[in-house]
Amino acid sequence: MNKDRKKAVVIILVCNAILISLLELIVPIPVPVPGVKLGLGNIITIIAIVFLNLKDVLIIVLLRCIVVAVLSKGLMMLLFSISGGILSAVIMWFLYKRFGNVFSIKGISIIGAITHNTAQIIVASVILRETIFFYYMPVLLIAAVLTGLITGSISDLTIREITKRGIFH
Amino acid sequence: MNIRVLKKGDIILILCILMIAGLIFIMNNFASAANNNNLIAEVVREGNLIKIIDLNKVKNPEYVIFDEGIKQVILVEKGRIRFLESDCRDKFCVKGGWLTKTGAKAVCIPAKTIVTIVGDQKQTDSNTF
Repeated sequence: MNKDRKKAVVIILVCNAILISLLELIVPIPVPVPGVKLGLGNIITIIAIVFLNLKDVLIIVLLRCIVVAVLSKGLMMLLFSISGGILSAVIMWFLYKRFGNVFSIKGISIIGAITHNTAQIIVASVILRETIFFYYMPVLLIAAVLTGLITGSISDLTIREITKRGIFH
Repeated sequence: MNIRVLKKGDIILILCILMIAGLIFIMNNFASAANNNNLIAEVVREGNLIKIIDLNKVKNPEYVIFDEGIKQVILVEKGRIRFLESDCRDKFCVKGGWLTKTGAKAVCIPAKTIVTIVGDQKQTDSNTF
């Protein structure tokens, strides 16, 4: 992939990540627990991890978090999405590069969802000055398995299609 | 290759997560089952303990009202407590509904308000010593 083409791919992925994250706000979540959500933005993060290097992945996550926070949730929520987004992206990148033979995209996506949730609940505990960590952890873990499987399967399908058609080459 | 196939690592991972979730859940419930005679509710806002209410002694419904910052109304009845209204965005605190058991918690992150039903604190202390 040459330089200009890579830039274009990064921009396309950022735009898609923002759109998909905004769309997600319309989807109602039946569980009244802070932190439970589909995390559709994760799909783009995983695609980026497969096709780009870590620096570009982090640029995509950062831009997505900032734009979505400004447009919807407010700046306080930026702290949550950035901490969860960056940490899960780094861990998923590491797992994909080193343990790609152990975990499939779905497994990596589940770990990403867990990292995201855990980072957020730790930030929440710090902000609230009370450990709400253990109280919410069981629900968040099970939710992460479900949402991670959903986003992981979508990523898996998309990555296969992109590779087959050679779109990013 | 079938896209539904999970790798071995994935399956082990999912099983481990479900086990850990189950363990923490059991631990949470075990801790709360030990002292469930008294229903004492604590209302904490921005790290400060605002109010302690003995839910068994409440006769008429009471309200705890926060006017500053994000406005919130907490409703207290005999044996139960809940967020009635909140100005926050997601309203997870209101959707959480009534808290009736020891250990139950409702959290509003934007308003930094936490309502918890703690058990009989004195009893826990005498047990631990």
